[in-house]
Amino acid sequence: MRRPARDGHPGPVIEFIGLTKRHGRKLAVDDVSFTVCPGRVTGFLGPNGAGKSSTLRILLGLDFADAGTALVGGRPYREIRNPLRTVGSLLDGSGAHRSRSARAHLTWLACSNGIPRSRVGEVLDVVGLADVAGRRVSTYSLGMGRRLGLAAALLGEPEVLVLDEPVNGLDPVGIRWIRGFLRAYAAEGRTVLLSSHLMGETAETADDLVVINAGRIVTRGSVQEVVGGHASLEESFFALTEGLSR
Amino acid sequence: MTSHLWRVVAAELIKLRSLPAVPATVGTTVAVTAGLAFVAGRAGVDSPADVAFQVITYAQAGFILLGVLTVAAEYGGGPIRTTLAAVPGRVALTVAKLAAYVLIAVPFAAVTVVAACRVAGRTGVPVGATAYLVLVGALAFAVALLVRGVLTALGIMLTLAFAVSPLLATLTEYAAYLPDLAGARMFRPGPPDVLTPGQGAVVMAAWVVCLLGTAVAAFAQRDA
Amino acid sequence: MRVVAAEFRKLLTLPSALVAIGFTVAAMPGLAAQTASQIAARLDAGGPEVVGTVSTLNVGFYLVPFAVIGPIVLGIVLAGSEYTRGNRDTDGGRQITASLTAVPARGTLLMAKASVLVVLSGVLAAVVVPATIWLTQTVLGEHGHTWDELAGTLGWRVAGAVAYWVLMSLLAFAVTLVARSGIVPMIFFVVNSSMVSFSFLLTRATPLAKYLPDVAGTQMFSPDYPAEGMLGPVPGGLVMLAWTAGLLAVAALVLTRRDA
Repeated sequence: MRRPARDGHPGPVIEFIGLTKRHGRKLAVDDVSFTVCPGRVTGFLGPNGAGKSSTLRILLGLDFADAGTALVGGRPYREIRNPLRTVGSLLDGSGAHRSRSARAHLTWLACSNGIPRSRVGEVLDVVGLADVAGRRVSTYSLGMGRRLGLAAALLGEPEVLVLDEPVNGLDPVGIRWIRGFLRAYAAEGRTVLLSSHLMGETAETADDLVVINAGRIVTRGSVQEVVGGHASLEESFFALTEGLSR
Repeated sequence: MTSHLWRVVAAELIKLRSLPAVPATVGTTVAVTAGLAFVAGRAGVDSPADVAFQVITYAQAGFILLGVLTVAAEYGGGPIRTTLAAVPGRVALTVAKLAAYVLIAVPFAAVTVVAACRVAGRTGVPVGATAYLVLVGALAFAVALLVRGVLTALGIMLTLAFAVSPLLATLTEYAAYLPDLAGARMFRPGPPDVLTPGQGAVVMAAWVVCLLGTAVAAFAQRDA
Repeated sequence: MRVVAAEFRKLLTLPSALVAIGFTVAAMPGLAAQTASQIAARLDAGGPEVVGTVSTLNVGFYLVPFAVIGPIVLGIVLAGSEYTRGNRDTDGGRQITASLTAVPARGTLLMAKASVLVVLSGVLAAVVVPATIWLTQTVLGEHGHTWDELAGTLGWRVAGAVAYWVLMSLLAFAVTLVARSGIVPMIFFVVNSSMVSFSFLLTRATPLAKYLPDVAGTQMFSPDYPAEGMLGPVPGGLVMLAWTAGLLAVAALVLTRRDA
């Protein structure tokens, strides 16, 4: 998956090139370009409605771009054979039908991508849902639903994780756990892209930041670079986004 | 590619089996069909063949629901996103879904038809009725892929099959070319013989193919 | 009153409700006019004035038991939409939560919804049924009947048809509320409104079937119900009313007792 660049360092795994998406007359994503490198956690920051989810949905082949492309490992998502074994993703909610059990949900997912069934039990253990795996998803709390979504993302042991607001709905213990988990995942040389509107949380988890506002990338770089001379990421964020919207 | 497609078909079968509404639909349809055949047969007004035809006409509601559920259970929430993340090829996904539907619908239709005929006292297994039930569900499958909602697709298909078609049939002989009325010629003798059973089957199949084509074309280029 | 207004707005902003209304307004007069023109053509050619069970007198009327699908769908959508999951949010997001936090008095909410349904399907019936009769008589032209003739035969039956539509939509509404899903009610009610309904089948099997809500209610307007020993229009209407009131009471009981 990782493409070694000529100088020996791994090249970018996720690339957005001039991505543009309209919803009716509104420009949801406006000429967005950035790359995400392996071995690092990249935070994709922006207020609600800034275009984070639209960008990620296009990356995952769910929505179509009006212009530009999004590539994973140099290819569009839709051309990846057995994509779950390359990219694990979590969008809002659990992503499961509410009257199916968690185990049945993960089983069909595994089957569709040729993932060994034994992984179902493993990921249920990892996210701590093993005891309730036979229950219908409709009986789950918000946090349990998110854990199931995460289990689905981890099912194929992917090199790349794409997570939309992963801490939404998690309790403090869960947030702490996922932070450690993602850091360890990236430390193994894998790629993590997570979107969030929570400044403080993202500053603690991410190595790199990409900040989007009103569909446009306003800044990018390491956390230190983005925070710059401001007291915190939050201060920096407001300076960047408010200056722009005025 | 073929082994990949088979895996997706197997995954779709797991999905259908693990959706409680699917076994409920199958069980209820067979039970209600047999029950109605019993009641209608006891009334003794119609011949066993007529009773069987009549209850099979009711039974199509179960197949319409099965076809709709196969597709539309994905909508009205998050499941479609998970499905497309796992299987991004939308044409392949639709083919696999249709295959999974057919694999369940064929035995389901055969059992329903046999139950209706046995209880009504008619012998033999009309293959035409079985084919009709499978096709009417496939039509519902296509409609559901177009409109993306269980209730909407169900409303359209049921109104067509139970109100619009029978009413139009009394008004114009062109109604015989409506998908359900054309297909029904496979098992039910039609009053004015506009279509032979074979032609009826072809007309219905053509409707299913056209609608499926339209639905897949729409599905392949819209945002999830 | 505010609650009723809010419920009106909720229903009329649902696309499926608008489709049901549009379908009823277009399909019933359209199909009936088509039938009327066929009858007129047949009469011009010197044929009999009755086609099947449809005559020049009831041509505007014979679709009443089928077109009731429109009000039925309204009732199902009004109740069912509360329990449908939102588009984005899988793990919550049913409108019933918002409705019950906005109007915690569940009895009031139910009454508001039922009132909206009564007004809407009542107006729909009171407009569509007479309009269809007028349209078919216009299409029939010289073969048509005078208003006195029509009033003499149909008169009270028009009111019966309006009552039938209103009660039918309330029945579908109550059943959907109890079931918390529109799927089964949709199948049951639409299939039962078909040419040969379950209940009609039952009238052949048992005399008790005349007390079924739709069979009893049909007597309020049907000039030629194809079964023997049915109730009269007034008792029939009362039986249907009793069913509706009973099922609404059950729905109210269930709604006030169970968790949203």
